[in-house]
Amino acid sequence: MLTWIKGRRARSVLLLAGVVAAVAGVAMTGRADAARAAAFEPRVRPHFDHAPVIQGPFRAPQDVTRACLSCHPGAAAVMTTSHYTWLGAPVAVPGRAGEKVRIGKKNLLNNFCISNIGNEKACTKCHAGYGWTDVRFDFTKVENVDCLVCHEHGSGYVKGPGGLPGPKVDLLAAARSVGTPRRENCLVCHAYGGGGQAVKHGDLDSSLEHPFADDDVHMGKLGFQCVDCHGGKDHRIRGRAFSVSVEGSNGVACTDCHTTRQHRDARIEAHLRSVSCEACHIPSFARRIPTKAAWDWSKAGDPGRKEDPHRYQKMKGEFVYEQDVVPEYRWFDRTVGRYLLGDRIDPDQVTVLNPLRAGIGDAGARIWPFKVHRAMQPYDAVHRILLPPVTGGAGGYWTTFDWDASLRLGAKAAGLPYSGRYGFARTDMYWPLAHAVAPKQRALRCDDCHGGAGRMDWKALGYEGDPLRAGGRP
Amino acid sequence: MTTPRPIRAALAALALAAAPALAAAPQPPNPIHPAFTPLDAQGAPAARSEDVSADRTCGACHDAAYVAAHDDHARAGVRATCIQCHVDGGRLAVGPLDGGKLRREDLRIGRPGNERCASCHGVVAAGAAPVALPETFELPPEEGRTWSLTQGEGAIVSAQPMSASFLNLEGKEAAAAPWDVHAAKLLACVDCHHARNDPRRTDLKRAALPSLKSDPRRPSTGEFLVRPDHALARAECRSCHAPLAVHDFLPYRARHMQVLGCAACHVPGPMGPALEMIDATAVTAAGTPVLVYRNVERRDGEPLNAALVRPLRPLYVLRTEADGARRLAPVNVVSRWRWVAGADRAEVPFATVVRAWREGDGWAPAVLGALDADRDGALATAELRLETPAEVEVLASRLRALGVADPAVDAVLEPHPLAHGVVGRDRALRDCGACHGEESRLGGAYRLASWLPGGVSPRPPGAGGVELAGTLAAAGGGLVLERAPGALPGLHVLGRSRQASLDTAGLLVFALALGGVLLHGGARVVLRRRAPASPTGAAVREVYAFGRYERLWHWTMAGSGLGLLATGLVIRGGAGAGLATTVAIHDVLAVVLVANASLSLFWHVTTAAIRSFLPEPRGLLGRILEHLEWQTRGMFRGRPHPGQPEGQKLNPLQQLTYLALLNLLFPLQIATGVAIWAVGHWPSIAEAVGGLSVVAPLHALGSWLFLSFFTLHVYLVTTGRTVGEHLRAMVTGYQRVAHSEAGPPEGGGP
Repeated sequence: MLTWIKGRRARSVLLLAGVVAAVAGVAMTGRADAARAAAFEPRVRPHFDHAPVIQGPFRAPQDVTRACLSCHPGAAAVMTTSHYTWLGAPVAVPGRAGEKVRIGKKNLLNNFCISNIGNEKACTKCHAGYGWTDVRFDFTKVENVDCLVCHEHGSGYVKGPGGLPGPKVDLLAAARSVGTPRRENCLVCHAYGGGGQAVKHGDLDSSLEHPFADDDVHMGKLGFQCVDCHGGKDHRIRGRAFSVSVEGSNGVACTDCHTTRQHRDARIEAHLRSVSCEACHIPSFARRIPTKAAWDWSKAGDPGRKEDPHRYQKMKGEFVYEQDVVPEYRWFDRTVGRYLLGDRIDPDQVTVLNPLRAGIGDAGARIWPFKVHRAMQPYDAVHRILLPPVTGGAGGYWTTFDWDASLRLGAKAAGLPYSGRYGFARTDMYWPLAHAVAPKQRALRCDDCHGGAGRMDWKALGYEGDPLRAGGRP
Repeated sequence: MTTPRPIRAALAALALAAAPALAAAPQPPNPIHPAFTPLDAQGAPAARSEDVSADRTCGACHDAAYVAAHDDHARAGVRATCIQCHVDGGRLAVGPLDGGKLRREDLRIGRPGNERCASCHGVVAAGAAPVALPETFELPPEEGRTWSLTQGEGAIVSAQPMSASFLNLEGKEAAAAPWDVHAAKLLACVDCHHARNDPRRTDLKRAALPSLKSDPRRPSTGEFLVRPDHALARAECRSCHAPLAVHDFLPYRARHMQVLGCAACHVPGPMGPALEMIDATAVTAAGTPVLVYRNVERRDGEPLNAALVRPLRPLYVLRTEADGARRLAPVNVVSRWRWVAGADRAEVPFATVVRAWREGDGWAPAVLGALDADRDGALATAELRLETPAEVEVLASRLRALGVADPAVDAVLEPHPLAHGVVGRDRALRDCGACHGEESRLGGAYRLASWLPGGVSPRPPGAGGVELAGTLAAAGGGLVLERAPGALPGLHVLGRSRQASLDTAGLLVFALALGGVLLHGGARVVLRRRAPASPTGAAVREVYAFGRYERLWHWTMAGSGLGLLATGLVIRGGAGAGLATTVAIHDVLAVVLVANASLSLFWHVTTAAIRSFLPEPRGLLGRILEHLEWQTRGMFRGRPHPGQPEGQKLNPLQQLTYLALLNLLFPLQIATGVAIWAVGHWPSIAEAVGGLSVVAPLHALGSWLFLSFFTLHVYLVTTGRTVGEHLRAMVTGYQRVAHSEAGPPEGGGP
């Protein structure tokens, strides 16, 4: 082989040069067309075509996982990640004394559908696994991992109760389509949490599958995939949602990529001491699709009221949806406290499930934009603890419309005491906004915050007044 | 169960927080202004807002007489009171009194907000509601009411992005810049138009007292509050900005800052509707003067908010700024026609003009009879023009009937310097070609009026620091201001300005050189055809005539010189976008040429080769005549080149030419070139010798002469025994000479 190269060196160099030139020429002429096409097509990283190597038949979804693992044994590491465990690594919850605890979707309450506990069958539709319908689910079985939900590409793969594929899913087609996760793979769960489109996150909804540049400059203009920022080794995806996480390690930040001085104007640059990138560059959220701003469970069960998925449902109560919302601004240092199962509340006060901890005096804190979700949710009037109701399934609230029964079931599943007397308490959750970054032309300008009619409540943030006149923080 | 009341409150709060501020924040109650009793004109407590006398009420503490005597807003026809400017909404609400005085929460008074100024001067949008033109925008000016900011300058003062406005703007989608960058940066009108003796502001004095950084002798706050000087400041850009500290990208920065007003680039094309002419001799069906906009494409009857607004193309003029410097400034010239009356030619109130045109709800029959060309019983827009003396007389007689003495049509040109609606660097003019290129904004024709109502030409403006350089000329029934293409009298614009006489002289020299060459060359060709084959077949030998260094400096000189001529031509032609690059290349070539010339001079002096260039005085005249004789006759007869004295490569004509070239033309070009270049760094150097307007044409003349020399030089290269002989010699160094000849090589090259 080597001698052949030696002998034909001149010719092969020529040939190589010709090929390079031809390829470059084609690439140059094709570039404009390709750029135009890319604006319409979901961008996918080039990936090995699995169609020829995947052999069926697959009778059960677990068979697909076994097939994946036969070539990708390391992928079993998914089993240790929160996408599968729904529990994080042991962590000292900020603001709490005591042992480190493992917390996650599995054992926390929110103020949307409230809890996974006792409702596994429905909630685990978004679990990256197969068959978690109750506490007996075996987390140690590697074939229970669902590879397809993140990796299949447009094969019509949908998950149903217990996270099992729907009856019409073609497992072979799904397995053959696999590749690097696309936006759709992530959004199928992250845009639909809380029981519907755009319920939870104000900055994640299905519009990001094919966004306009105005919706999200990274994905809409530059063609980013979620995994371009949310990468990570061994399936340990980077990124933190402060609805379940309490600290920001292994998170994603704008400054991971935007490392140099960004603003020509020194006055804007000076804001970086106190203002997060997100505060100015996410001028509003839920720009395309309305998001849920408030949820009042206490109104549920009224058969006389008109059903409207955006205002009232007998099963869920009363809602407020909002679109193109001006965020609320708070100091944030990427840590939150957390309401844990069994914590006592003061029902006359608003209980913040993930209370922000920073104030104007914390040098590491920045002003962040938040979606604040406000709710009324059930609690035990004697023990003064929030309770997870069982909603779906037999005996659940959505069949019986009996709060007492569903709370009794939920308390039992969660191992919480239940006195038999319940009420509804005001709770808040803070959702820091980080997606749907707008093009720079739409970033906030001076007068959006300063000069009188702005959007900041300076006094609430701890300033003596508009810092333009009263001065910034020391 | 607990009540859901808290969530309602929370939701309401949420909704409040989410709602964008729809209107400008009202002026907050003034925390320190003493409470006072609103008084009426008689000094008695006023019961109603309408009865409040500002002079009495405010004058109880402030020196109302002083303010009135030092007040821009206290001219004839202007009725701005303290209350109109300083009180929220321009109206002092007389609410419930507390101890005979207004309550603190009703004291919404203080420095005037933008919307107060806007209530007279133009469109100012402070809230979040999209910018739109109000319905009153085209109504006849009430007493003192003017839209000068918008109709005059095309400016709209708002922090909003233009793309968010209600107007139909050309290129709106991409117009993400705010209407006014100062508004976006939270400046208020009164930040630049402040009371002159405001003790906080000393920048106005800086121009008058250059030796003082700051003048500590200021009125105390108390003195100021009693006697605020309301002859408001007109802070100019340079009161706050230091343009030389930025603009790093700009070539010839010092020069640009010397001749350009900031607005020249930073108000390049306002997007508000700006007027071209106001014809207040005529009345529209809506009861307004006839308004013609410069930058609005509007169908008949279309609301102005829906009509397409293009960027206003301003007229560039030299304007005297506050510091006394004359700088290039964009203006919008509005020509205004109106009826005047009496010996003092005072303007006839527009309401009277309306009564002359209209009777009841319709047109006056006499007017209709004179102007209704298509006899449809109504006056269309095109018919609302007084063109013939008869038509003027119809209205004049009706005005006389209304008691107006000696009515006549009068017209003035009103230049409005564009000073508001400033754009930041992203939208500022950065295209060199906008002034230096083919489509220079500085010259050409500028329309002043589409027709001349009453046949009256508007008078050019008198004072005001603005010169409308150019000539007024009739065009298509209207009036235009004409300038030579691309030129502005009194200002040398690189690439655009021409100095006709020097250019003509240079061209003449070049034409003579070219003509001579063509004549001589033609004669050579013709005569060679007739002549028998020349005896060049004789034995030749090669002589090493041009050393390596000689050839190197020659060709370096040739290359850089030709490059300079070529780039110079491009610069003069207005390179537009490539101007800066071309100038940079020209500069580099000039450095190469001068360095080459200096080294070569050193070489010639030290090697004594310079003697070739110094004519031997003895018998010079004879040799010149001999050489001329050869060139005009001998050459055609195939006679050999007359020889030179020992050690001389150049013939006497060449020696004379090069003496002139080296001692006159080179210094001229280098000196003028350096002066032009230095304008970018030390403008005073060029000013010392008469400014660019003198230096630049001299440089151009020099290049004409160089071009002529090149022409002759290249032609003479061909006059060897064969056409390419001399050229070959300068390339290889070897000159062919006839074998028989001894001594010095013939000729030396041209």
